[in-house]
Amino acid sequence: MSEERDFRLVVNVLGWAAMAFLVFPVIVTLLVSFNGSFFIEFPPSSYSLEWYRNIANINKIGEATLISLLIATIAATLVTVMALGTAMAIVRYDFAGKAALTSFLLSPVAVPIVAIGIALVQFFIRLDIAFTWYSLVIGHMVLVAAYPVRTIVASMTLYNPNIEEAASSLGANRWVVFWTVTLPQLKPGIISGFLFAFLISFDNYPISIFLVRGGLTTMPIELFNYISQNFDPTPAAFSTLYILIISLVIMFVEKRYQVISLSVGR
Amino acid sequence: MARLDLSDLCFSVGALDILRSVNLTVEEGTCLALLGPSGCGKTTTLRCIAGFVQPTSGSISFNGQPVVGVPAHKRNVGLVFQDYALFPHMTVAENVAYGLKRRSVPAAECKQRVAEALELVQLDTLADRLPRQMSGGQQQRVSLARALVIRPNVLLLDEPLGALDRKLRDQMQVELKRIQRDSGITTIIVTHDQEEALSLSDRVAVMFDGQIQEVGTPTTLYREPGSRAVMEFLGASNILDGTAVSAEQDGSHIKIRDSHTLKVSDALESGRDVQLGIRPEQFLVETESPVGRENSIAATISEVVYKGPHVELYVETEQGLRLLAQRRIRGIAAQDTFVIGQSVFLTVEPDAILVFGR
Ligand SMILES: Nc1ncnc2c1ncn2[C@@H]1O[C@H](COP(=O)(O)OP(=O)(O)OP(=O)(O)O)[C@@H](O)[C@H]1O
Ligand SMILES: [Mg+2]
Repeated sequence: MSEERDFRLVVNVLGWAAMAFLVFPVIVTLLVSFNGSFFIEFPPSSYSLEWYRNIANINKIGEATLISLLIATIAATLVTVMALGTAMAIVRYDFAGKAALTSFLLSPVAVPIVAIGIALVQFFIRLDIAFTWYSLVIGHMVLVAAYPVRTIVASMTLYNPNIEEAASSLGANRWVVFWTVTLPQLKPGIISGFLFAFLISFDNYPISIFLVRGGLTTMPIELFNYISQNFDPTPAAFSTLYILIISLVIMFVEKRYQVISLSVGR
Repeated sequence: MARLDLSDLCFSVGALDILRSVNLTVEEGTCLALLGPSGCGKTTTLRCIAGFVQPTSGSISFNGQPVVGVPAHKRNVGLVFQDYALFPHMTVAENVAYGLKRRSVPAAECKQRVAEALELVQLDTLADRLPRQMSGGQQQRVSLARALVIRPNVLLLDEPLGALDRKLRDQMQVELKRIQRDSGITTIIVTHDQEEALSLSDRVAVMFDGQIQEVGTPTTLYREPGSRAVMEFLGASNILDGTAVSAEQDGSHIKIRDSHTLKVSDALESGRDVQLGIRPEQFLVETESPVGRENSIAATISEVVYKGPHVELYVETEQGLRLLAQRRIRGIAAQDTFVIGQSVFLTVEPDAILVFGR
């Protein structure tokens, strides 16, 4: 029995350590954002909402956030639709190069992002579309393409293909089967894949930095520009709002679509 | 409802012949049990009928209308899978309504028919549940209701009771039989369980290695199987090699290896090599020597296995012939207690011995 207790102890300690590791920076950011003084200090000696008011003074922040939202939405949508096809091909069919494609898309190999950024910008200059919306969207699609494939493949492997045959024996043609059975079944994978892609695109800095110029700019870039010229806690205020909104969205999506059950099974 | 004909149905994957000339007819409104060892091609046969795979050659017809080439969703076939294959994101009522929606049945009629179907399988009170909130037996009945509600030409059941425990299985067997009889839908039920096949169906087809070996009513197939393989497949049996030694008016004598001579009711010419098949329950087991009776074999019990309603006796004769006998247990009487090493006498009626050519 004492092994059991020791084992639990270790699991608990590791679990709490991981939690602390994830949550601690968020708490620091939160506290700093309410700091009363001009300089970042921790713990704060006085409190104010001044830095929240000052968010508006970050150069082009409204415009840049809107662009980031649009780019993330477009890139995540396109990539998720493509991933649906890719995931079906990987799970259901045999084709030349399947093994290579699968390991490329599904293995947790870290993509050297800066290298990809450089490659992309050269490629786009060749195509004469560098520093345009096209290049930014395509660049972000390259960045996030693998995530929805992974989540959709995961939800497909949990799912019983017999239900599609059942549907077709009940009179549904190929399209109707897809709309009424396949798609609803893959919904958790599709939504969490979309979310992954969206979030990774939304706050990406290293790819964007190669692809923006002039009026075309994104939220992380402007935020970083501000940080490099100012030392006040305004970015902390911005980040706190950002984390809050994202957490609410994720909580809502989880509640509504049970995305967590993707990995836990239903 | 339709008569189903399979003729010369073949299906191969690459060089592998999975179905080799399946010929089968299921008369309108009857239930056929398809029985056979694992991997013999039962599921593949159903998948051909349902239209999920195209046969390499041969024909399938419903009421004489060929359906090969007709896509699955236009065949109007009801299917029940072993794992039920219910739509997990739909309620019981939505599952059952699925096929009606695809047929654009008006809402009021759809509701009415779903209610009727659920009543038929006694699930009318659970219409709003999701499949995951139901037991295996209940899910199985939803799956049956979903298949029946479209009034299919044929109903195909692939080991529908395979995942249920013994008791629920017996209960569902009775229910399934009632539903099939009441609805009068032409049905094929695949099963591994010979008892289930014998009790559920009007006719039984035994399949070996991609071919139908024999078709018949449950009684004829069990009592008078046409081959040794079918006999062995349909329950425990004793198979003995022998040679006909003398022919008589009312049968002939068969010499079993170098031990006993058994009388059978078939007329066989002398010298013919045959195989005899005897069901274990056809042996009369006695502890006293039955003087002057035919076909009596003295043996010693080597193993006793209690099986609830009967006891199985593994016996061996002095000449080394091993036999399996069965004896019903009535009452709690002490004389039914057999022990290893005990001497017994097995007697079998000549007409209870089946003769197969060798
Ligand atoms: N698509 C396929 N490709 C290759 N082989 C297949 C395919 N489908 C079936 N088989 C093979 O065909 C044979 C018959 O399969 P089938 O599923 O019809 O058997 P079954 O009688 O239903 O068996 P069980 O009782 O175990 O369900 C098996 O040997 C199986 O491995
Ligand atoms: Mg099978």
